This record gives sequence, structure tokens and C-alpha cells, in this order.
Amino acid sequence: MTAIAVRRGVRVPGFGLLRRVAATPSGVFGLAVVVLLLVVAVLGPAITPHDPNRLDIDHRLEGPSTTYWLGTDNLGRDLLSRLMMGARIALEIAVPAVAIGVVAGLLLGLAAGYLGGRTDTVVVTVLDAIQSFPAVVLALAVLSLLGNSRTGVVLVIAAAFVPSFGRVTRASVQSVGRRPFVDAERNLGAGTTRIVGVHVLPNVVSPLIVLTAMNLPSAVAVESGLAFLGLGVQPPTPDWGVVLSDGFDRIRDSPWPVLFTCAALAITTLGFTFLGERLRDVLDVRTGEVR
Amino acid sequence: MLGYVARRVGVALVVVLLVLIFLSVLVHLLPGNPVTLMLGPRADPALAADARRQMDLDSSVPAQVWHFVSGVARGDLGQDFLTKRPVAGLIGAALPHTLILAGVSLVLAVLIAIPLAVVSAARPGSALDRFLGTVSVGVISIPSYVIGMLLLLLATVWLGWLPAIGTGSLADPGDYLAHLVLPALSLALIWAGYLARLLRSSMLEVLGENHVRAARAYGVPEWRIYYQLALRNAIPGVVALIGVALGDLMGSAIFIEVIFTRNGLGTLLYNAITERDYPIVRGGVVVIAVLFVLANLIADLANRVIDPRLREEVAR
Repeated sequence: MTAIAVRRGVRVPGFGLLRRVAATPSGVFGLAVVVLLLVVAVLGPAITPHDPNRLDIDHRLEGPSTTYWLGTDNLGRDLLSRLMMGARIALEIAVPAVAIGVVAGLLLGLAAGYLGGRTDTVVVTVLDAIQSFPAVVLALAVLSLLGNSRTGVVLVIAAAFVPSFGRVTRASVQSVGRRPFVDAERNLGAGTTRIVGVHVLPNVVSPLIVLTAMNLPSAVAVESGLAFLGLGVQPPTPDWGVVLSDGFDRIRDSPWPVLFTCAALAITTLGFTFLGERLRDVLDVRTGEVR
Repeated sequence: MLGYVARRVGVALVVVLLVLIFLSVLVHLLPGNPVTLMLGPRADPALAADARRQMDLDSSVPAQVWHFVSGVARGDLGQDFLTKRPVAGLIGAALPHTLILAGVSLVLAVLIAIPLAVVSAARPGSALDRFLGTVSVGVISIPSYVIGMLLLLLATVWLGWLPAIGTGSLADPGDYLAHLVLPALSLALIWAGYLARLLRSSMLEVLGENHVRAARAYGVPEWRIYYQLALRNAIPGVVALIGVALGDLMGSAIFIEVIFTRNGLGTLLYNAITERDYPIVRGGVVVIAVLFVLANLIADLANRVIDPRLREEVAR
């Protein structure tokens, strides 16, 4: 650990936070990847060098060139443009999925931690049951029926993430709720809304930010993985999983599509994870979560 | 102890029951006609009628749940749509390959993790420790199918090493092992990274304690300090994690088996998804979920036996 003491007290995320995140190489890398990804995803079609679905039959499965910077796929489509559009699709699925997971987990965790008793037992049992599926397997069961539904993919991934957010919230609520000042305030006549809003929520924010950064790459990984298996986003949409699957079918003819798609996935997941790790150090959070 | 075992087994049974109920009513929870969901919109009417009967859709919903749960209890997972073979038999034939893959990966992960953790814990904060920490986080976050793809590219396309794909035959153990190396490595790397970090932190926990200092003072060699005293403290954490790891490995194995064209539960599920053979998908999911719950149960109970500290704690 470095000798710099992290300032404690009320933490308001802002530019100070960004500066501290960027204080280490891995923090800079994470931040850079995430910003780049957001820019590519938001600008999307405006900045892709070619139309991601335009066929160029004369230039199939080519390696990198000055026209096609990352080469072309089995139908002569520009790989770079497809991967850039893929970034947008990945975030279009991962961001709402994680957002729904955060909100549902937050509500369940608050209810379980704050109300305790039977509510707590029921919520914990349900979360356990959800976690008894590896995320991919839960998704397989549902999506083999829903087929190419994008909403289905979002909801399944959200459901798979609810337990992790729920548990973290519940633990934070329990640790705050037992402090003497909360009891004192309750005795002074403060209602549930005030106690939750003023004391409980601010303490849950930091762990949830960290967990969100950690879960976003998993959501991207699961979504692309499902598309690779033929579930969720379908060809010819340039989802990373679809591009990977196309490339995999012709891996003996050209390694480039697989190589570059893997690079996109690896850099994305690494970026978010390093950002999450850095945020955890900066915000001084102990998550203690096993995936 | 007996009370704890009974309670823990009870919880596991409840979870399995919830999973089975969920899977048996899933076709009704999703919007749309169950038969269309299973077979797709352009299904042959004869096949659709057949599927309707086979999936027990004409019974009432509670009866469907009962038939499914009692069937699973008897080891009956139904028949597949296309060839009418019992699903349990198909899974029984595929499962050993997947279990071998997951088991070997886990052992490999532990074997890779231990030396890395010892090197890191010996000099916490050193350049090597920080480097290994970053690498561990890196391999943990990269999806296993990306690692598998890259290993496949490396082996087949660039090195021309052929045993990379296929399953090999169990009758020829050497050949089987040669085919197992890359898939197992693809799965193991992630958990090696994870275990290395876990082992490192639990070793650091004890390295500063009195019994370790006393051992050092008595001249116990350093390798014994690390490999015997410090590692022992890490065992319960690792055992607790093995349940989770095994479930995760079974999930990731689906991709790895498809990538390396290996026989197993994953390939069976992948083909079933492609052919819209829902009973196989459902049966496979049941088996993975039950194995996952079972692995967690065994890990928890094993920890009670290994770690006397847990027995003294008041149960949750």
C-alpha cells in the first residue's frame, strides 16, 4: 500500500474522485478504456469508418490493411466498424441490465436489512435460490425459450445480478442500523424515510458504485457469450458475440476476426475491472463479494 | 453439529425445490404460447401436438409441477423432442466429460495459485507482488471463452498442435489427457487468479501472528513456515470457495466445450439450443443447478469438519 492516507469523512463523488482514481496506472487505464468505450458507443455510426453491414465480397477474410484497419470478416464486412457498433450494443444491454439489478437489489436489500425478521429470511432465501444458478445457466434456461428477445437478455442478466447488489445493501444497512446514533434518532421521533434517506442510503452508495463497476464487465461478458451461443442478439447485428461466432466458424481461414474481437472483449472487461478496483481503494470499501 | 447438518441440508433441499418449481413453470411465466416458445413459430403441427403432450401441458399447472418434481426425484428428466431418447441418459453420457474437465481445472487452478500466493505473501507490496496482483485481476475479469479462443488460436493456428480440439477417448488415457490440457487451462486460469489472491490475503493474516514468530525464532525453515503454517490458515477459505467455483466452472465449461469441440454437457446443451430441443436444455439446467447446490453443501459441511472455529460460532 502507498503511504498516502485516504481522507475519511463524507465523500461526494466528483472531480476530486476522478483525480484520485487516475492516480495509478491501472486507474488511468480503466478510466481511459471506459471513456473511450462511452465515446464510441454514443457517437456510433457517426464515426465508424465503413458501414458495419456493407458487404465487400472481393475482400473477404482479409488481414489489417489501410482500407480496413482491422481486416474484414467472412462476408467482407469491415471488422473495426462492426466492433465499434458492437461496443454500443454491449453497453445498450449491459447498462440497463446492471441498472435494473442495482435498483431491485437496493430495494430488496433495504427491505431485508431494515425490516429484518421474516422479510429478511424470505429475501435471503430467494437471493440464494437465484444464486444457485451460475448466471449463464439461468440465462440458458430462459433464453432458449425467448430466443432473440433483447429485453429478455437484459432482464435475465439483471436477475442474475440482483443477489450481489441485494447482499451488499443488506450488509451495509445492518451495519448502520445497529449504531447507537440511529437508535437515538429513532427515539427522537425520526421516521423510517428520514433514517433510510439520511443515514442508511449514503452508506450504501460507495459499495454499490464499486459493485456496479465490477458487474458491468460481467454483464458484457455474459451478453456476448450468449450471443456467441446463438441466444439473445442475432446475426447480422454486429454484437461482439455474433462477430466472435462468425469468426470462430472460419478460424482456420483467418485468425483476425477472433483475435480482434477477443481483444475488444478483454480490453473492455479489464478496463471496467481496473476502474472498479481503483474505485474500491479510493472509496475505501470492503465488498467481500465472490463474483 | 447434527442440528447444523440437518438445517443446512434442509436449506439445500428448499433451494433445489424452488429451482425445480421455477423450471417447471417457466414456459408459463414467459409471454407467449408455450409450444411456440419451445419450438419456434414455424413448428410442424404434429410435432407441436407431440411436444404439448410430452411436456405435460394439458395437465393443470400444479399437476405439471408435481409430475416434473417427482419425475426428477426418480431420475426421470423426460424425453427429447427429436429422437425421443430419455434426457437423463443423454446427460448421463455427457456429464462425466464435463465433470472431469471441471475437476481437473480446479486442481490445476489450485496448483498454479499456491506458488503464486506464496511468492506474493513473502514480500507484500514488492514489485513482483503488485505485478502478480494485477495479472490476477486481469485473468479474473477476462471471460473464460476469450481465454479459450486465444489458447485455441495459439495452439492450432500458430503452433499447429492438433490434439487441441476434440475429446479423445477415455480408453486411451494419454490421448484423453492431451485433449484435456488446453480446455482445462482455459478454465483454470481465472480461478488460479482468484485463488492466488485469496490465499495471499489469508496467508498474510497469520504471518504476523505469534505462533509464526515463535516458529521463526526456533529456526523452522522458511518454506515450512509458508507451506505448512501459513497455507493451513487458508484452507477453509479455499474449501468454501470450491462450491462456488465448481458451479461457475460448469457454466463456463459450456463455452469451452463448444470452442474445443469437446463432448460434454455444454456441447449437448449448445446443440439442443440450436435444434430447439427444450427438454434437453431444461434437464441440463436442472443437473447443473443440483450439482452446484450439492457442491456448496459439501463445501460447507467439510469446512465444519476441518475448521473447529466454525463449530463454536453461533449458527446464523
